[in-house]
Amino acid sequence: MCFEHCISTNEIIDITVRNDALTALLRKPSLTFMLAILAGLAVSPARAQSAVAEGQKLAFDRGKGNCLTCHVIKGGDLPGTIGPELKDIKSRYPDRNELFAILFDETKRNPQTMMPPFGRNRILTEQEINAIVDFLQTL
Amino acid sequence: MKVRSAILLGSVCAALVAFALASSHVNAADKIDPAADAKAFQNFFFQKFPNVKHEDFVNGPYSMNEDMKRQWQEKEEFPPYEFALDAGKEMFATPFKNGKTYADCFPNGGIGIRQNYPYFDEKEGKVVTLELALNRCRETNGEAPYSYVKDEMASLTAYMAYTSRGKPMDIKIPDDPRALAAFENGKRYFYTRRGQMNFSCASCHVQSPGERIRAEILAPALGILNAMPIYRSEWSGMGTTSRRFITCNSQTRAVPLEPQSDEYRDVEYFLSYVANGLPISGPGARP
Repeated sequence: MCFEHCISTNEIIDITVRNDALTALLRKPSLTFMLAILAGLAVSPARAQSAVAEGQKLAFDRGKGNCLTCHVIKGGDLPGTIGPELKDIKSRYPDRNELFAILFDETKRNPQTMMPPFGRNRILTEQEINAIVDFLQTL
Repeated sequence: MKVRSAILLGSVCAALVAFALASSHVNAADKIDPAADAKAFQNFFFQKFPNVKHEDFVNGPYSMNEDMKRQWQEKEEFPPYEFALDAGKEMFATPFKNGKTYADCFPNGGIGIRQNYPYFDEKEGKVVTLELALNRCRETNGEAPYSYVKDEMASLTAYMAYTSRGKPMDIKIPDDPRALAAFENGKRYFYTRRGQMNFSCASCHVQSPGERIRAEILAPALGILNAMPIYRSEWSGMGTTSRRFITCNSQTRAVPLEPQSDEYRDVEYFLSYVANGLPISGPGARP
Protein backbone atom coordinates (compact mmCIF):
# COMPACT_ATOMS: atom_id res chain seq x y z
CA MET A 1 0.00 0.00 0.00
CA CYS A 2 1.03 3.56 -0.62
CA PHE A 3 1.53 5.58 2.55
CA GLU A 4 4.04 8.32 3.12
CA HIS A 5 6.52 7.22 0.58
CA CYS A 6 4.44 8.01 -2.47
CA ILE A 7 4.42 11.63 -1.44
CA SER A 8 8.16 11.61 -0.83
CA THR A 9 8.69 10.00 -4.23
CA ASN A 10 6.89 12.97 -5.76
CA GLU A 11 9.11 15.31 -3.79
CA ILE A 12 12.25 13.61 -5.06
CA ILE A 13 11.03 13.97 -8.63
CA ASP A 14 10.27 17.63 -8.05
CA ILE A 15 13.65 18.30 -6.53
CA THR A 16 15.33 16.59 -9.45
CA VAL A 17 13.52 18.80 -11.93
CA ARG A 18 14.48 21.89 -10.00
CA ASN A 19 18.03 20.53 -9.72
CA ASP A 20 18.30 20.23 -13.51
CA ALA A 21 17.24 23.82 -13.91
CA LEU A 22 19.75 24.90 -11.34
CA THR A 23 22.68 23.02 -12.86
CA ALA A 24 22.28 25.00 -16.02
CA LEU A 25 23.13 28.08 -14.01
CA LEU A 26 25.54 26.68 -11.48
CA ARG A 27 28.70 24.78 -12.18
CA LYS A 28 29.82 23.77 -8.71
CA PRO A 29 28.36 20.38 -7.88
CA SER A 30 28.73 20.87 -4.12
CA LEU A 31 26.77 24.12 -4.28
CA THR A 32 24.16 22.45 -6.43
CA PHE A 33 23.90 19.71 -3.87
CA MET A 34 23.43 22.21 -1.06
CA LEU A 35 20.86 24.11 -3.03
CA ALA A 36 19.06 20.91 -3.73
CA ILE A 37 18.83 20.26 -0.01
CA LEU A 38 17.62 23.79 0.58
CA ALA A 39 15.07 23.37 -2.20
CA GLY A 40 14.00 20.12 -0.62
CA LEU A 41 13.48 21.83 2.72
CA ALA A 42 11.50 24.58 1.07
CA VAL A 43 9.40 22.27 -1.09
CA SER A 44 8.56 19.75 1.59
CA PRO A 45 6.33 21.93 3.81
CA ALA A 46 4.67 23.47 0.76
CA ARG A 47 3.91 20.00 -0.56
CA ALA A 48 2.57 18.90 2.77
CA GLN A 49 0.42 22.00 2.91
CA SER A 50 -1.08 21.36 -0.50
CA ALA A 51 -1.85 17.75 0.50
CA VAL A 52 -3.51 19.07 3.66
CA ALA A 53 -5.56 21.58 1.65
CA GLU A 54 -6.51 18.87 -0.81
CA GLY A 55 -7.40 16.58 2.10
CA GLN A 56 -9.63 19.23 3.64
CA LYS A 57 -11.35 19.79 0.33
CA LEU A 58 -12.00 16.06 -0.02
CA ALA A 59 -13.16 15.78 3.59
CA PHE A 60 -15.76 18.52 3.11
CA ASP A 61 -16.82 17.54 -0.43
CA ARG A 62 -20.29 15.93 -0.40
CA GLY A 63 -19.42 13.72 -3.33
CA LYS A 64 -16.11 12.51 -1.91
CA GLY A 65 -15.07 12.06 1.72
CA ASN A 66 -18.07 13.98 3.01
CA CYS A 67 -16.71 13.50 6.56
CA LEU A 68 -18.78 16.50 7.71
CA THR A 69 -21.97 14.57 7.19
CA CYS A 70 -21.20 12.59 10.34
CA HIS A 71 -18.32 14.36 12.14
CA VAL A 72 -17.71 17.76 13.68
CA ILE A 73 -14.58 19.18 12.04
CA LYS A 74 -13.02 22.55 12.79
CA GLY A 75 -13.73 24.90 9.88
CA GLY A 76 -16.70 22.93 8.54
CA ASP A 77 -20.32 24.12 8.52
CA LEU A 78 -23.37 22.06 9.45
CA PRO A 79 -21.64 18.95 10.72
CA GLY A 80 -23.54 15.76 11.54
CA THR A 81 -23.50 13.95 14.86
CA ILE A 82 -23.16 10.26 14.05
CA GLY A 83 -19.41 9.94 14.46
CA PRO A 84 -17.08 11.41 17.08
CA GLU A 85 -15.69 14.93 16.68
CA LEU A 86 -12.48 14.86 14.68
CA LYS A 87 -9.94 16.60 16.91
CA ASP A 88 -6.63 15.89 18.64
CA ILE A 89 -6.10 13.30 15.96
CA LYS A 90 -2.33 13.19 16.20
CA SER A 91 -2.38 12.35 19.89
CA ARG A 92 -5.26 9.88 19.54
CA TYR A 93 -3.80 8.19 16.44
CA PRO A 94 -0.05 8.67 16.41
CA ASP A 95 0.24 5.96 13.76
CA ARG A 96 -1.02 7.25 10.43
CA ASN A 97 -1.39 3.68 9.19
CA GLU A 98 -4.17 3.20 11.70
CA LEU A 99 -5.98 6.28 10.40
CA PHE A 100 -5.51 5.07 6.85
CA ALA A 101 -6.97 1.69 7.81
CA ILE A 102 -10.04 3.31 9.43
CA LEU A 103 -10.74 5.30 6.28
CA PHE A 104 -9.99 2.37 4.00
CA ASP A 105 -12.36 -0.10 5.69
CA GLU A 106 -13.42 0.35 9.31
CA THR A 107 -15.82 -2.62 9.09
CA LYS A 108 -12.77 -4.87 9.39
CA ARG A 109 -12.25 -3.71 12.95
CA ASN A 110 -15.87 -2.93 13.82
CA PRO A 111 -18.45 -4.80 11.72
CA GLN A 112 -21.29 -2.63 13.11
CA THR A 113 -19.70 0.70 12.17
CA MET A 114 -21.64 3.28 10.15
CA MET A 115 -18.38 4.42 8.55
CA PRO A 116 -18.45 3.61 4.82
CA PRO A 117 -15.46 1.57 3.60
CA PHE A 118 -14.04 4.43 1.51
CA GLY A 119 -11.09 2.47 0.17
CA ARG A 120 -12.61 -0.97 -0.25
CA ASN A 121 -15.70 0.39 -2.04
CA ARG A 122 -13.59 2.84 -4.07
CA ILE A 123 -15.32 5.96 -2.89
CA LEU A 124 -11.81 7.41 -2.51
CA THR A 125 -8.48 6.40 -4.04
CA GLU A 126 -5.53 5.57 -1.80
CA GLN A 127 -3.99 8.90 -2.73
CA GLU A 128 -7.16 10.71 -1.70
CA ILE A 129 -7.28 8.81 1.59
CA ASN A 130 -3.65 9.78 2.22
CA ALA A 131 -4.46 13.45 1.62
CA ILE A 132 -7.36 13.23 4.07
CA VAL A 133 -5.10 11.55 6.62
CA ASP A 134 -2.65 14.45 6.18
CA PHE A 135 -5.50 16.87 6.84
CA LEU A 136 -6.82 14.90 9.84
CA GLN A 137 -3.38 14.98 11.44
CA THR A 138 -3.53 18.78 11.54
CA LEU A 139 -6.71 18.71 13.66
CA MET B 1 -25.39 2.34 26.49
CA LYS B 2 -27.12 3.62 23.36
CA VAL B 3 -24.32 2.36 21.17
CA ARG B 4 -24.11 -0.89 23.05
CA SER B 5 -27.80 -1.67 22.65
CA ALA B 6 -27.65 -0.77 18.95
CA ILE B 7 -24.71 -3.09 18.50
CA LEU B 8 -26.52 -5.77 20.44
CA LEU B 9 -29.63 -5.41 18.32
CA GLY B 10 -27.52 -5.38 15.19
CA SER B 11 -25.73 -8.55 16.17
CA VAL B 12 -28.94 -10.26 17.21
CA CYS B 13 -30.43 -9.42 13.82
CA ALA B 14 -27.30 -10.53 12.01
CA ALA B 15 -27.39 -13.75 13.99
CA LEU B 16 -31.07 -14.22 13.18
CA VAL B 17 -30.46 -13.69 9.49
CA ALA B 18 -27.47 -16.02 9.55
CA PHE B 19 -29.54 -18.56 11.42
CA ALA B 20 -32.46 -18.21 9.03
CA LEU B 21 -30.15 -18.66 6.06
CA ALA B 22 -28.38 -21.63 7.62
CA SER B 23 -31.59 -23.41 8.53
CA SER B 24 -33.59 -22.51 5.43
CA HIS B 25 -33.15 -25.98 3.99
CA VAL B 26 -34.86 -27.45 7.07
CA ASN B 27 -37.90 -25.23 7.40
CA ALA B 28 -37.29 -21.53 7.91
CA ALA B 29 -41.00 -20.86 8.46
CA ASP B 30 -40.86 -22.66 11.81
CA LYS B 31 -38.43 -20.06 13.11
CA ILE B 32 -40.21 -16.92 11.94
CA ASP B 33 -42.05 -15.16 14.73
CA PRO B 34 -43.33 -11.76 13.54
CA ALA B 35 -45.14 -11.02 16.81
CA ALA B 36 -41.93 -11.44 18.82
CA ASP B 37 -40.01 -9.40 16.24
CA ALA B 38 -42.52 -6.55 16.44
CA LYS B 39 -42.37 -6.52 20.23
CA ALA B 40 -38.56 -6.47 20.25
CA PHE B 41 -38.49 -3.79 17.55
CA GLN B 42 -40.87 -1.48 19.41
CA ASN B 43 -39.17 -2.06 22.76
CA PHE B 44 -35.82 -1.15 21.26
CA PHE B 45 -37.13 2.30 20.27
CA PHE B 46 -39.16 2.81 23.44
CA GLN B 47 -36.07 2.12 25.55
CA LYS B 48 -33.74 4.12 23.36
CA PHE B 49 -36.05 7.15 23.57
CA PRO B 50 -37.82 6.87 26.92
CA ASN B 51 -39.05 10.48 26.70
CA VAL B 52 -40.79 10.12 23.33
CA LYS B 53 -44.49 9.26 23.62
CA HIS B 54 -45.14 6.02 21.77
CA GLU B 55 -47.66 7.55 19.39
CA ASP B 56 -45.15 10.32 18.54
CA PHE B 57 -42.76 8.00 16.71
CA VAL B 58 -44.98 8.34 13.62
CA ASN B 59 -43.83 11.95 13.32
CA GLY B 60 -40.35 10.97 12.21
CA PRO B 61 -37.57 13.45 12.93
CA TYR B 62 -40.01 15.76 14.74
CA SER B 63 -40.37 13.24 17.52
CA MET B 64 -36.62 13.41 18.12
CA ASN B 65 -36.12 17.15 18.52
CA GLU B 66 -38.18 19.70 20.45
CA ASP B 67 -37.19 22.73 18.36
CA MET B 68 -38.04 21.03 15.11
CA LYS B 69 -41.28 19.78 16.58
CA ARG B 70 -42.37 23.33 17.40
CA GLN B 71 -41.53 24.56 13.91
CA TRP B 72 -43.39 21.64 12.40
CA GLN B 73 -46.48 22.21 14.52
CA GLU B 74 -46.59 25.77 13.25
CA LYS B 75 -46.16 24.57 9.69
CA GLU B 76 -49.04 22.12 10.13
CA GLU B 77 -51.41 25.10 10.29
CA PHE B 78 -50.82 25.54 6.55
CA PRO B 79 -49.51 22.13 5.61
CA PRO B 80 -47.54 21.80 2.36
CA TYR B 81 -49.44 18.60 1.46
CA GLU B 82 -52.78 20.41 1.41
CA PHE B 83 -52.91 20.76 -2.39
CA ALA B 84 -52.27 17.05 -2.83
CA LEU B 85 -54.90 16.24 -0.24
CA ASP B 86 -57.55 18.37 -1.97
CA ALA B 87 -56.63 16.94 -5.36
CA GLY B 88 -56.78 13.39 -3.96
CA LYS B 89 -60.22 13.97 -2.48
CA GLU B 90 -61.54 15.21 -5.79
CA MET B 91 -59.94 12.38 -7.77
CA PHE B 92 -61.36 9.86 -5.35
CA ALA B 93 -64.88 11.18 -5.89
CA THR B 94 -64.59 11.46 -9.69
CA PRO B 95 -65.99 8.41 -11.54
CA PHE B 96 -63.89 6.51 -14.11
CA LYS B 97 -65.09 6.48 -17.73
CA ASN B 98 -67.12 3.36 -16.94
CA GLY B 99 -68.96 5.19 -14.18
CA LYS B 100 -67.33 3.30 -11.29
CA THR B 101 -65.14 4.94 -8.65
CA TYR B 102 -62.21 4.05 -6.42
CA ALA B 103 -64.71 3.43 -3.64
CA ASP B 104 -65.98 0.39 -5.56
CA CYS B 105 -62.55 -1.27 -5.34
CA PHE B 106 -62.02 -1.02 -1.56
CA PRO B 107 -63.63 -2.19 1.66
CA ASN B 108 -65.68 0.54 3.34
CA GLY B 109 -65.57 2.58 0.14
CA GLY B 110 -61.85 3.20 0.73
CA ILE B 111 -62.47 5.46 3.72
CA GLY B 112 -60.50 4.88 6.94
CA ILE B 113 -58.70 1.77 5.72
CA ARG B 114 -55.10 2.92 5.26
CA GLN B 115 -54.04 1.10 8.44
CA ASN B 116 -54.78 -2.28 6.82
CA TYR B 117 -52.23 -1.84 4.00
CA PRO B 118 -50.15 -3.60 2.91
CA TYR B 119 -51.93 -6.92 3.27
CA PHE B 120 -50.98 -10.42 2.21
CA ASP B 121 -53.14 -11.64 -0.65
CA GLU B 122 -53.47 -15.39 -0.24
CA LYS B 123 -54.79 -15.86 -3.77
CA GLU B 124 -51.83 -14.11 -5.33
CA GLY B 125 -49.41 -15.36 -2.69
CA LYS B 126 -47.87 -11.88 -2.41
CA VAL B 127 -47.97 -8.63 -0.48
CA VAL B 128 -50.37 -6.01 -1.89
CA THR B 129 -49.69 -2.39 -1.01
CA LEU B 130 -52.17 0.48 -1.16
CA GLU B 131 -50.38 1.96 -4.17
CA LEU B 132 -50.57 -1.35 -5.99
CA ALA B 133 -54.25 -1.79 -5.11
CA LEU B 134 -54.99 1.70 -6.44
CA ASN B 135 -53.37 1.03 -9.80
CA ARG B 136 -55.07 -2.35 -10.04
CA CYS B 137 -58.36 -0.61 -9.40
CA ARG B 138 -57.62 1.77 -12.26
CA GLU B 139 -56.61 -0.99 -14.65
CA THR B 140 -59.61 -3.16 -13.77
CA ASN B 141 -61.77 -0.19 -14.71
CA GLY B 142 -60.02 0.45 -17.99
CA GLU B 143 -57.85 3.35 -16.84
CA ALA B 144 -54.09 3.71 -17.32
CA PRO B 145 -52.01 3.16 -14.17
CA TYR B 146 -50.34 6.11 -12.46
CA SER B 147 -46.66 6.55 -11.68
CA TYR B 148 -45.99 4.94 -8.31
CA VAL B 149 -43.70 7.62 -6.99
CA LYS B 150 -45.53 10.97 -6.92
CA ASP B 151 -48.24 13.22 -8.32
CA GLU B 152 -51.63 11.50 -8.66
CA MET B 153 -50.59 8.41 -6.69
CA ALA B 154 -49.36 10.58 -3.82
CA SER B 155 -52.56 12.62 -3.92
CA LEU B 156 -54.78 9.53 -3.76
CA THR B 157 -52.81 7.92 -0.93
CA ALA B 158 -52.68 11.28 0.88
CA TYR B 159 -56.47 11.42 0.90
CA MET B 160 -56.84 7.78 1.94
CA ALA B 161 -54.31 8.26 4.77
CA TYR B 162 -56.05 11.43 5.89
CA THR B 163 -59.37 9.61 6.30
CA SER B 164 -57.52 7.06 8.46
CA ARG B 165 -55.59 9.42 10.71
CA GLY B 166 -55.30 8.24 14.27
CA LYS B 167 -56.30 4.67 13.48
CA PRO B 168 -53.70 2.21 14.76
CA MET B 169 -51.68 0.39 12.10
CA ASP B 170 -53.22 -3.06 11.84
CA ILE B 171 -51.26 -5.36 9.54
CA LYS B 172 -52.15 -9.04 9.55
CA ILE B 173 -49.81 -11.90 8.81
CA PRO B 174 -51.96 -14.93 7.99
CA ASP B 175 -50.80 -18.37 9.01
CA ASP B 176 -49.42 -19.02 5.55
CA PRO B 177 -45.78 -19.92 4.98
CA ARG B 178 -45.68 -17.54 2.00
CA ALA B 179 -46.79 -14.61 4.18
CA LEU B 180 -44.19 -15.46 6.79
CA ALA B 181 -41.57 -15.77 4.06
CA ALA B 182 -42.56 -12.33 2.71
CA PHE B 183 -42.19 -10.83 6.20
CA GLU B 184 -38.82 -12.50 6.65
CA ASN B 185 -37.66 -11.39 3.22
CA GLY B 186 -38.61 -7.79 4.02
CA LYS B 187 -36.77 -8.01 7.30
CA ARG B 188 -33.68 -9.37 5.57
CA TYR B 189 -33.77 -6.55 3.03
CA PHE B 190 -34.08 -4.03 5.85
CA TYR B 191 -31.01 -5.30 7.73
CA THR B 192 -28.76 -6.08 4.74
CA ARG B 193 -26.00 -3.64 3.90
CA ARG B 194 -25.75 -2.63 0.26
CA GLY B 195 -24.42 -0.02 -2.13
CA GLN B 196 -21.18 1.88 -2.27
CA MET B 197 -21.80 3.44 1.16
CA ASN B 198 -22.41 0.00 2.67
CA PHE B 199 -25.52 1.07 4.60
CA SER B 200 -28.53 -1.02 5.46
CA CYS B 201 -31.88 0.67 6.12
CA ALA B 202 -31.17 -0.14 9.77
CA SER B 203 -27.78 1.63 9.79
CA CYS B 204 -29.52 5.00 9.67
CA HIS B 205 -33.00 4.30 10.98
CA VAL B 206 -32.28 1.82 13.80
CA GLN B 207 -28.68 2.54 14.76
CA SER B 208 -28.80 6.32 14.34
CA PRO B 209 -32.29 7.85 14.58
CA GLY B 210 -32.19 11.30 16.17
CA GLU B 211 -28.62 11.81 14.98
CA ARG B 212 -27.90 14.39 12.32
CA ILE B 213 -26.42 13.86 8.88
CA ARG B 214 -25.32 17.39 8.11
CA ALA B 215 -28.42 19.41 9.06
CA GLU B 216 -30.94 16.62 8.64
CA ILE B 217 -32.26 14.54 11.55
CA LEU B 218 -32.58 10.83 10.85
CA ALA B 219 -36.06 9.44 11.43
CA PRO B 220 -36.68 6.34 13.52
CA ALA B 221 -37.70 3.26 11.53
CA LEU B 222 -40.55 2.68 13.95
CA GLY B 223 -43.67 4.25 12.46
CA ILE B 224 -41.82 5.67 9.45
CA LEU B 225 -44.49 4.44 7.01
CA ASN B 226 -47.43 5.60 9.14
CA ALA B 227 -46.76 9.12 7.81
CA MET B 228 -46.78 8.23 4.12
CA PRO B 229 -47.18 9.85 1.68
CA ILE B 230 -45.06 12.87 2.55
CA TYR B 231 -44.34 16.31 1.25
CA ARG B 232 -40.56 16.62 1.32
CA SER B 233 -38.96 20.01 1.01
CA GLU B 234 -35.94 18.23 -0.47
CA TRP B 235 -38.21 16.94 -3.27
CA SER B 236 -40.19 20.19 -3.50
CA GLY B 237 -43.20 17.94 -3.71
CA MET B 238 -45.06 14.87 -2.62
CA GLY B 239 -43.67 11.35 -2.60
CA THR B 240 -45.06 7.90 -1.92
CA THR B 241 -43.58 5.01 0.03
CA SER B 242 -42.06 3.80 -3.26
CA ARG B 243 -40.36 7.14 -3.72
CA ARG B 244 -39.00 7.02 -0.19
CA PHE B 245 -37.40 3.59 -0.72
CA ILE B 246 -35.94 4.57 -4.08
CA THR B 247 -34.49 7.80 -2.69
CA CYS B 248 -32.94 6.00 0.28
CA ASN B 249 -31.32 3.48 -2.03
CA SER B 250 -29.92 6.05 -4.42
CA GLN B 251 -28.73 8.41 -1.67
CA THR B 252 -26.67 5.61 -0.17
CA ARG B 253 -25.40 4.82 -3.68
CA ALA B 254 -27.18 1.50 -3.90
CA VAL B 255 -29.14 0.38 -6.95
CA PRO B 256 -32.82 1.24 -6.42
CA LEU B 257 -35.38 -1.43 -7.26
CA GLU B 258 -38.42 -0.97 -9.45
CA PRO B 259 -41.33 0.57 -7.52
CA GLN B 260 -43.58 -2.21 -6.22
CA SER B 261 -40.99 -4.89 -6.86
CA ASP B 262 -41.41 -7.93 -4.60
CA GLU B 263 -38.63 -6.83 -2.27
CA TYR B 264 -40.01 -3.33 -1.77
CA ARG B 265 -43.46 -4.83 -1.14
CA ASP B 266 -41.94 -7.18 1.44
CA VAL B 267 -39.95 -4.49 3.21
CA GLU B 268 -43.12 -2.38 3.39
CA TYR B 269 -44.90 -5.39 4.87
CA PHE B 270 -42.18 -5.86 7.50
CA LEU B 271 -41.93 -2.17 8.43
CA SER B 272 -45.69 -1.71 8.62
CA TYR B 273 -46.22 -4.84 10.69
CA VAL B 274 -43.63 -3.87 13.30
CA ALA B 275 -45.43 -0.50 13.61
CA ASN B 276 -48.73 -2.18 14.47
CA GLY B 277 -50.60 -0.25 17.13
CA LEU B 278 -49.07 3.12 16.23
CA PRO B 279 -51.48 5.64 14.65
CA ILE B 280 -51.64 6.57 10.98
CA SER B 281 -50.33 10.16 10.68
CA GLY B 282 -50.15 10.62 6.93
CA PRO B 283 -49.98 12.62 4.87
CA GLY B 284 -46.84 14.02 6.46
CA ALA B 285 -44.41 16.87 5.88
CA ARG B 286 -40.66 16.37 6.11
CA PRO B 287 -37.60 18.58 5.56
